[in-house]
Amino acid sequence: MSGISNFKFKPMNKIYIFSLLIFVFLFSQSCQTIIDIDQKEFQKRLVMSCTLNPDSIINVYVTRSVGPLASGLPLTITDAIVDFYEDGNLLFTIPHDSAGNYSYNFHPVIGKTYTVKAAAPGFEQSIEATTIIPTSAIIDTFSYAIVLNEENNWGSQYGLNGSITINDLPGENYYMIQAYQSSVDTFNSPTQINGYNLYITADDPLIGNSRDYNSSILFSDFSFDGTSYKINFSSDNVDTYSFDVHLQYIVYSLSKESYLYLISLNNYYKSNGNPFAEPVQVYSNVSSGMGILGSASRWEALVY
Amino acid sequence: MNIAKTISPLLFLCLIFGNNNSIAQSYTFSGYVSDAKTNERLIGANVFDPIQKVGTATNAYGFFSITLSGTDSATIIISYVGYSSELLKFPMTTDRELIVLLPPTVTLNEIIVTGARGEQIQERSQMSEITLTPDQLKNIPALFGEADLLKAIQLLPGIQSGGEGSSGLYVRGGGPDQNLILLDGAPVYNVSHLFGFFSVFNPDAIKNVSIFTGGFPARYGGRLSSVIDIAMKDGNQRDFTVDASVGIISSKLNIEGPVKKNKSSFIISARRTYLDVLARPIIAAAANGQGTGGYYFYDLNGKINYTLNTKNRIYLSGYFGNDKFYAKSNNKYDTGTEQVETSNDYSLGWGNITSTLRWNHQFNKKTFNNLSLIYTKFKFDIGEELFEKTTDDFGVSTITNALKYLSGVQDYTVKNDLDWIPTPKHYLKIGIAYTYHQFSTGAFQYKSTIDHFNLLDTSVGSKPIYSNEGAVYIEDDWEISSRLKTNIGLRFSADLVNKKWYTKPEPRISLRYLLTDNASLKASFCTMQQYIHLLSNSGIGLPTDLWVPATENVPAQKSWQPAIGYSQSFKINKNNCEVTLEGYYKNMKGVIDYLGGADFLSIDETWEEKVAIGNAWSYGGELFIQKKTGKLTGWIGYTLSWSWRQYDEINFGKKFPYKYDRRHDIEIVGTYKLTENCDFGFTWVYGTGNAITLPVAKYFDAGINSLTNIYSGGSYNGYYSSIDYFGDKNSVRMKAYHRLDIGFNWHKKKKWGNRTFSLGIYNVYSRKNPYFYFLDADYQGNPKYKMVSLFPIIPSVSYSLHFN
Repeated sequence: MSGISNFKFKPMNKIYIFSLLIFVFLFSQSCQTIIDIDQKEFQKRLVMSCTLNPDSIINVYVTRSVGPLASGLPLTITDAIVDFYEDGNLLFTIPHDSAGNYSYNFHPVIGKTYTVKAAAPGFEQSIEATTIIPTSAIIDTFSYAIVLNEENNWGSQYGLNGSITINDLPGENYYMIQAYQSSVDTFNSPTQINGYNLYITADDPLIGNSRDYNSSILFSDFSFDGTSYKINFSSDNVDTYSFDVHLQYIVYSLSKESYLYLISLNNYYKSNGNPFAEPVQVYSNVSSGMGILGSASRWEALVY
Repeated sequence: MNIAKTISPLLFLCLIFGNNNSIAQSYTFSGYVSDAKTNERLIGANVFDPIQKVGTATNAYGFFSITLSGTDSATIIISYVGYSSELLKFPMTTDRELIVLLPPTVTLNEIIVTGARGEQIQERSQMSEITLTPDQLKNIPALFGEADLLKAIQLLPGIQSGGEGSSGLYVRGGGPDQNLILLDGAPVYNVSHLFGFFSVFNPDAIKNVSIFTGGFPARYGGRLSSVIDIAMKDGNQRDFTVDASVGIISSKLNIEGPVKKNKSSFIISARRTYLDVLARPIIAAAANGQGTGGYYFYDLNGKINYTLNTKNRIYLSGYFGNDKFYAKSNNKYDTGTEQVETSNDYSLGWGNITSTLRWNHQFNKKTFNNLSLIYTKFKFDIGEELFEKTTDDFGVSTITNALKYLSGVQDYTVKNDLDWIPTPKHYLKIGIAYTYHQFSTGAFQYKSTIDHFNLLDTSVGSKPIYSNEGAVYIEDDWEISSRLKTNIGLRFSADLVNKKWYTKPEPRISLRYLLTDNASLKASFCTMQQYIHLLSNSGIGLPTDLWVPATENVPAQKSWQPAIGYSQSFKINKNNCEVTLEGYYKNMKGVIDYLGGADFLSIDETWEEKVAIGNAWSYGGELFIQKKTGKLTGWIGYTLSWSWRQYDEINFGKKFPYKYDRRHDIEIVGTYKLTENCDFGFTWVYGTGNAITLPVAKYFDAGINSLTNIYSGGSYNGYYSSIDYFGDKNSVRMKAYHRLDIGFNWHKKKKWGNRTFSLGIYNVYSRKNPYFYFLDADYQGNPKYKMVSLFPIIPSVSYSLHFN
């Protein structure tokens, strides 16, 4: 038998229909004209990517924007002047490390406001962005249960039912939960530890604005602001066969910028290339440029 | 019960409406005005007493009632544009019931109209209203020579098209879902044929069109931005007539005649394209005989009426229309051990059904009632079916897999409208309506069989939603003084969906103050409530419209709109001309749009999870200058407007221009009668380009690793993602749209009737107007934006026959 038995309504079929619809009728009528859209000013701007957190040194990645159809590797900027401010005061200039990475051995402090400004020769405008390091999530309790799955898509017989109770502080707060599993492949590489994030989902209407993001749960405290709230989540796929398996819960407390950026980025990747989807603007807090200066604090616990 | 409280309003009404009777003996003249040739009832015919200077107009069923007092005899002039006026004189001795037959003055498609003195624009209390007749429609040059109602409406100020080929209407910054388009009282949800290039309304079947863009009378409701009230012809009650025309892409046939002379008549009007027939051999050749495809649409309008007696008449009318695209491919191959035949069928279809049953009943000389039962349906489906037949040593086996996406809406409506004309100074309309909506908000049907054994037959996606919508209204067209007239009304609407109630009082008022006999100032204020939404995908031009109700999660749309205006009629070389200048502000809440990334075909989320709820506002001014009589007739329209949207979840909460925000919109439409048998028409349109969202740059970013990778102790080296940069939503403007169309009509009278030969040229100077933009590479591989234009210069011919 041919592949017809694996029939699915694939995106290609949508495109096929779409193309046929438009072009079968209009092929003899339509014409294309190259046009000029005066948006060149966006095609040579500085871009910064940086997520500040209290647990690691500062890394700022500086590149530049290009035309919308450009291909190849990022055009990194190695001669930028990257200044770092704390609560409005210049602390230091971050030196270039390698390939557009600017690094400095400094640990940001929770609650402080940080601004990064960058300028480079050949660029008319300097860029800057600001973020406040959020307070770490306050986790009251967490739990887990390994459950037997009769059917799942992962080839794994066992799944995870977990929960984390967050004591949310008043005000806008944003979180990302991950379940990280590590194990040792006793047959092939008995000395190597392998780790990955479990694909977890939360079926919770009160965090309805959550988005599955990079195997994580991403949400705001909009529905439980200032209260203690238990988030239940599950995963279909838990490794119970390997040797020395461990599970770790990680809760990131995110700045608003990081949250908006991750949400929009996730939507962007989900819809990119789909002619039926609305275009997605990826969030940026970088003035006169592009990219993100975000911040996060991390809570983690070894579950088993 | 407090009887005094109950009686007080009645007493008040009696005082208002009864004061004329207390002064002198009065008599009521009522009846119907019809075309003398066909007995077709005339809508909006003017009934005027030139001595007392009071008048009224016939309603949508040709009925009028005028009460006069104080003189020995009554003089009434009955007039209607395109017809000879009738002067009637009666002694004031008794009430009279009249059947007035006006002979048409027009000869063969003549468009020069003289002699009639209808209610002039400055005299009407209503503002933001324009009426079109079929003759006006047919004389406007059109694409492929196909006269088109909605294309003609798009040539009016304040009403914009979505762009090349679009039948969508964007009225004063509103969306295409905010237009109440009624065909014999039945709402039509999708008005497009051929991906929006033609509308579903066949001009041969249309009697009259009234368009409101603001100052809505209370009898209309349920939409925010416009009302387009289309009345179908009733059918010739005296003689059989046949109209036939052959055009480039379609042919039409219209038959009307008496069922029982002067009592009952019918009309059937049909239209079908033959694009599929023409394209089939081309597509088959391109597919090497292994496939075919095509597209067609058809319309069928039908109506029958029966006059039971002078006080009762019933009408049954219907519309059926469908668009169908299909593509099929077949393949055969032999693997050596088995022979395999496969076929793939793709289809896309959408269509409307409307039907209206109406009963006119005249209670008395001053009271006219209409009861309507209405059904309307819109459906959209897209699907594919894959079939495989395998023959081998073990026999024959077959596999069929089918998938279909369905959406649509059905309405069942009952409504009653009562006209009461107590005095010449008051014209009351009172009504009640109830509609049961059934929304299919997008579902997939899967079916899979092996050797005729069902493996799978299921539906997934959104479940149907049912809602109940009701309204009551009262309005009064009240001549307060000789200079001041108002149309004041109140509508109260309610909607129940999923146990959620929405209710809304909707006050409406229009005021006219006569500055001189020829000029007036007008003002209006209206609030509107709309209990349905339309989800339109902005990325593609397909009819992927999804009608959805207001629910407990997605609120109803509501608006308020004040407007002021100036109207004047004047003459140029004894020819009647009109000018109106209006300014408006419209505020809308509860409008919806797809969230970034939302895919209308996705079933991962419900439609409610795919949309953002926000606000919209628009403001602008409109100038309309019309020459109504003479050899040259036509109009010039200009609109200056701004239209904005704001959603918390789109464009990061910042306001952005609506896709159809159009700063300047100009229309020049004219028809010139060259000779008795030849006329020439032209239109020129100009519009600021649409606002669209395009990637204007690209940048590389740490992307998904920006957070977690740092905690892993790594740098950004080797981790980057490419991101399209769009700027603000709708920050790119398409090129301006402009186009000139011309057309000639040659008429010739024959023994059996007459014939018309039409020649038209669409886009005379072959302007490449934007349809959509996309990114592509040029011949050197450099990235470039490309603009797709649809129609260069297109000549068209059509041949029409009218058999008497």
